Amino acid sequence: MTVSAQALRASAADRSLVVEGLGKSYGEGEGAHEVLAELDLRVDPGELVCIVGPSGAGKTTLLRCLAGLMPATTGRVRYGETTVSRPQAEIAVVFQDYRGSLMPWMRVRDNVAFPLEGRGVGKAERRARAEEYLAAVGLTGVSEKYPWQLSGGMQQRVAIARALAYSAPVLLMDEPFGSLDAQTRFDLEDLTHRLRAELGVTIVLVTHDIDEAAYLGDRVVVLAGSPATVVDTVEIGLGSERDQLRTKADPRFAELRGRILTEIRSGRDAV
Amino acid sequence: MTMRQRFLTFARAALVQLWLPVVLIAAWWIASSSSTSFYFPPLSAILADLWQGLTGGDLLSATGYSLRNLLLGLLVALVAGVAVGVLLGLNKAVEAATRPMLDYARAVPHVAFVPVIIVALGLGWLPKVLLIALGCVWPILLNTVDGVRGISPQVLECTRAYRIPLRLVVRRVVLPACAPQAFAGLRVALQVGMVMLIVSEMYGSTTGIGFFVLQSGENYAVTDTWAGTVLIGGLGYLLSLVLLAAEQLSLGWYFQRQPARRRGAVRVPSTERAVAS
Amino acid sequence: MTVTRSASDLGADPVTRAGAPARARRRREHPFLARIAVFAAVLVVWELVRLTGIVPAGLVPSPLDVLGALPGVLGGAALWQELGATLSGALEGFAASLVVGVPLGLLIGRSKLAERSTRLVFDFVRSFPTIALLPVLLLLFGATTLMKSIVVFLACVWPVLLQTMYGCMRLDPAVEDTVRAYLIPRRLVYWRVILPNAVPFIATGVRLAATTSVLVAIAVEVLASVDGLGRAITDAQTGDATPTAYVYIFLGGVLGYLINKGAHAAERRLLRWRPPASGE
Repeated sequence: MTVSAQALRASAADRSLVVEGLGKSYGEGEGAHEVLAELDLRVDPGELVCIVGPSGAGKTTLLRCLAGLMPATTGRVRYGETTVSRPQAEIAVVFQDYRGSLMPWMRVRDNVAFPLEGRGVGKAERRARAEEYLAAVGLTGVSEKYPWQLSGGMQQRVAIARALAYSAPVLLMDEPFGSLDAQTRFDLEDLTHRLRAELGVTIVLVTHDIDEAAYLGDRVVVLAGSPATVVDTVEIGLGSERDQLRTKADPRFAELRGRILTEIRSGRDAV
Repeated sequence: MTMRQRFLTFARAALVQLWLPVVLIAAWWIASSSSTSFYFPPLSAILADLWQGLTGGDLLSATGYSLRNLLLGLLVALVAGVAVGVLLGLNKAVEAATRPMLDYARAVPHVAFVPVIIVALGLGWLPKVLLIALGCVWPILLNTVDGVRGISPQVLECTRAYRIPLRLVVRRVVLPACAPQAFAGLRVALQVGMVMLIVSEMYGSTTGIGFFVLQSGENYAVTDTWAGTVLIGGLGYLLSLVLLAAEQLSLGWYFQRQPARRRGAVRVPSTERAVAS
Repeated sequence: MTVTRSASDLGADPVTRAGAPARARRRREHPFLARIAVFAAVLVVWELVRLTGIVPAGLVPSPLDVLGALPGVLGGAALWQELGATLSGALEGFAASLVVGVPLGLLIGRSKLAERSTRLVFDFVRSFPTIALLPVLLLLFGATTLMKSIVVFLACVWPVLLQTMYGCMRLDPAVEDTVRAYLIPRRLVYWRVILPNAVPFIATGVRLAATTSVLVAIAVEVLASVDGLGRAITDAQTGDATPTAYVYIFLGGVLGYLINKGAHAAERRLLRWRPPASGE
């Protein structure tokens, strides 16, 4: 890993991603559609926070605001002292639509190295870093292939490798495993856990899957209502070691997912 | 949005789209206004000539003649193209066997049939309709085949599972499903038809708008030539708008789908046959 | 019942199963014999229709006569001269349309304002049958090869320009988000994202223009008596040599077919990064 990447991560130690009174509406005047309202959230360095909510609850909108891809209507998002109104070098994003977000005309390696090229990193180092992170997500021998030659799960691994190679201290993931089959999803969930432990990145992951949220998160933030707002924050407290079989069979896990589900339902019925 | 806001949005969009055409026409008008060049008469004179031709002269009847031939030829091509296209599209083996023949037939320069057919059949309207139909049938036919082949196998299996009779399947499933593609073919066919129409009238005719522009040019009635050319441009644009409106009206289900899915569903016409000449 | 049938199907002659499916698929997709049969059937129907006498003799010659005229045309020097004249006119106009259309399309396609401003103008010109300009151009330039190239250029530049523009505009929203989120500098976005994304569209425009160029050249030759295949066809037909005219037309078809297939092959080579399904 390079010095600059280490420096970026070290300086992140005193930096949190904070959402203050965030509101977002589409359109203006009477016909405006309010999606998010009065939303507060804080993600500390090194945390893995899952945001869960029913479909249409504005999860993706929230994530786009966090990424600086979309301006807030009211309130603000800040990272440390910086207001996030544009995309930041410290924030990497993994999108749900892996098919669209990987450039089909670039080979896998070039896709991973592309953001580094944008930073002016030299060719040899770019390649080395791309290979390094492709290996880290469990992909070897595919760097010369084009994205369409890989399965969906492998493509999403490439997208994750790209985000990691960018060496941003914060990783935002928008329904990253939503369109994958169950088995692949489990593998990638475990990969996410492992990468968090090894690299110490802060992760915010948006999902509609309650099991996934409870299994992955240190905390789960429940969004519900219309406009959506935070109805609860659930401390998961299952430790950092998790296992698809044992964790999901744990009575505490069952209790947590029951609680989250109840909250989503009550939030829905309240409308 | 309030009424006022909606109006403002509309006005802004209209302004952005209209300024360039207005500027271009104004530039032509001003640049040619004092023109004494034999080849470039003033636009005002061209338009006056056009107006006179359409109200008193024989331009109106010539246009009517051309338009009737074009529509007849298109109609023949549409019926034949869709009928054969559905037949081929539903039968994989026949389609595979005829594919190279069709590809070749489409590649033949159909304008080259103009002298052959007109010399053999004379200057009347029938050879012209024949030529227009001959040029227009291929894009419609091949697009219809693609459209039928593009129907999801689940849909066809579903009709078989419910034992829906073939006639009904063709009428209620196959034809609507291939309609977007057939329309794309029709759009190309309209352009091909205009070309066939004009070439056939220029080659041998006693009336029609193509004849009018060529004849006036040969008689050095340059203002008439320009007026006829402007009229052809307007006619082509108008017809393409009519076709677009017909498409929007009859394919409501298709245009109301999410744009993303629409793009995925028929990638072919969007990159492939969107523009053809 | 379904179960038993599929089970027996699976058990059926496991030996031939191995290599057979691929061969069967090839036969299904490229049924060589069937294609020849279709070709022969077309010829037979053609001859039968002619024999019934419902079509005038000068319109449809016998396929045997057309075949008989073939060696004379192929052996003569005239064919190659006419072909050269048609191709050079088509090529000049086509090349000019690329030189003008691609850069202009890239320029306009990158700006929303430019695209919206030019929309109506382009909608108009693209529905305009270029050949209708012939009388005006005849007045200005006379019946010359330059005039032919100009008509070809005017017909070809729009597909190239418009397809290039579409290519620049149609960027996947997910790609757009990605380059924004990863702070990719504008120059790099242009060269590594917008341009490669536009290439398939440009290639389509180029292919359309290539086939159009020959068609338009022939049309001009037919109407304005400029040297080339078109004029050869007119001369043959007015000289009562209908079979010869048909030979020229069919050779024109071969030319168009080869250009189209060649352009497709070049496109596939150039766009190897695309999944095969999205090809054709």
